[in-house]
Amino acid sequence: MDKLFKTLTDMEVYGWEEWIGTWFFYFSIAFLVFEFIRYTVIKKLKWSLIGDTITNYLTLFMFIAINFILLAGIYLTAYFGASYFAVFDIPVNWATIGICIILADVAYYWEHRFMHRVNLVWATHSVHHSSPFFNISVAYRFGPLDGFWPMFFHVPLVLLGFNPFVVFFAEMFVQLFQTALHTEWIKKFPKPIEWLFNTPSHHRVHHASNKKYLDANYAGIFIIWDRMFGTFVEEDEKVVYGLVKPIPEINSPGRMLASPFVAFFHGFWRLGKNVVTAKSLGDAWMYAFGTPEWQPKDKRKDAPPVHAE
Amino acid sequence: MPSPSKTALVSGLVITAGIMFSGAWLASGMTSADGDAIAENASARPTMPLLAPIPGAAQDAVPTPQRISAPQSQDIAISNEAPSAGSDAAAVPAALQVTINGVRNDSGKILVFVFDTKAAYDAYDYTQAVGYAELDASTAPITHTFADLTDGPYAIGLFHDENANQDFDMQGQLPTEGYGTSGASNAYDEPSFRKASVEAGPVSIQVHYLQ
Repeated sequence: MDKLFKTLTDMEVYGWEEWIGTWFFYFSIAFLVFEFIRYTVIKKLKWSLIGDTITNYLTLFMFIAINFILLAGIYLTAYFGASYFAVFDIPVNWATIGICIILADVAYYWEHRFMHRVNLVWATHSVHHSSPFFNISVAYRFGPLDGFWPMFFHVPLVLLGFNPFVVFFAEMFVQLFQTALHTEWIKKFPKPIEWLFNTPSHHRVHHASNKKYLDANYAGIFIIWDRMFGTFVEEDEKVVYGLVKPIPEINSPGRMLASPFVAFFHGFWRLGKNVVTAKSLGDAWMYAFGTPEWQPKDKRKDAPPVHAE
Repeated sequence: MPSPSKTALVSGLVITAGIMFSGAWLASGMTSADGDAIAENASARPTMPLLAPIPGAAQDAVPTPQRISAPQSQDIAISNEAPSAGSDAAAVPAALQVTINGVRNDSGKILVFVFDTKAAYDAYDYTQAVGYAELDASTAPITHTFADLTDGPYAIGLFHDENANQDFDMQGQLPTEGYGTSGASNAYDEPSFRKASVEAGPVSIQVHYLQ
């Protein structure tokens, strides 16, 4: 019990983060192998799936490059700068890391909801949702600015007094937990787990383009936030994965080659096209800062707005 | 699909703010039984050992220790290291001999503190130091023997007082002067008392500079 309160140095926290991250990556590769065996067994393995998986890892590579080159400096400055203004004096130990993980999970709920409900931000996050498949490689499908927005939601944790290294650790942990949820393999866990935790079932709903499943289950680790804040939906019909307006299927070698770039940039491409060709400044504004389903009056076809993308 | 109302959104944000503040407040109290001395040193910002100024410390003098160290053992010192000064191993127990490496110039002094309890070490309470020395800075390795420290365990902290102001100078949270701790594996390591402490005998300490 005393181990929970034993002070950890920054380097120790960072060391644990690296260790957990590395071993989780090995696990994810093993899991991917299982998924491919399963696809083969149920006769669902096809070229578009293989192409999609390759695309996923290529978007990961591009995402990491952008983070490293563009964002690392901003991030480090923001975090370590903010630490000077810490409100509370919070020690660094496993107990406080545990608390930080929970708070980072609440922060992530809002970050994620924000990414789905503001077009400018959806432009990068829609990349993650654009795969028509659902397996652990999809967890690594990232958009160009996916690394930019989390900062705004996690700097408050540093301001509250959590050591920047602890906040980085917590962010990583919240992401890794969700990575494991990207599977169709696991149906539903026992009810108490499905009540408290985010699960593959809840996350399938989140990745669905079925109308009743849209804009739901934003959770990271705990689904309890979605239940509390009114964005929870239970999985009870078969999920159709991908976007409401899908990106082109990989059905030719040309499409296979273009796929990583189509996937990575389509969100911004659509945003740019909408904003630039908008008929009025008001429309352009809404295309940039409104919700993804918003349509200008003349496109609404007498029906209330349907989710466009 | 779920469409929470604006009211739901606002109350959600308010609840979140409440959760954040209470969580942080709870965490700020989660120190170990060893007490607040540790919490003070383990604050939110990446920390370096903080040393209070030593008012009017005499040159090269060892202040009267506040605590009486363990009586010198009459037995042969059981130690892996050879006793200092080539004296008769059977009769003279080994004393703490500190070698300081990596001092970057010859300016000012190296202030060395020896602690023999966890509480004193964690708090860097120099009034509780059982050994203290002010040594002329030199880029060559500096060796100093604390002749009366023949027991252990001892944990040693030191800093390079380049401007001889008796103070460990910092710029914000970054030290501008060199520092070192026994048992530290790198510039950022802050070893616990257990990791830092050694028995009487030779110990070498590396001085690190961050600026």
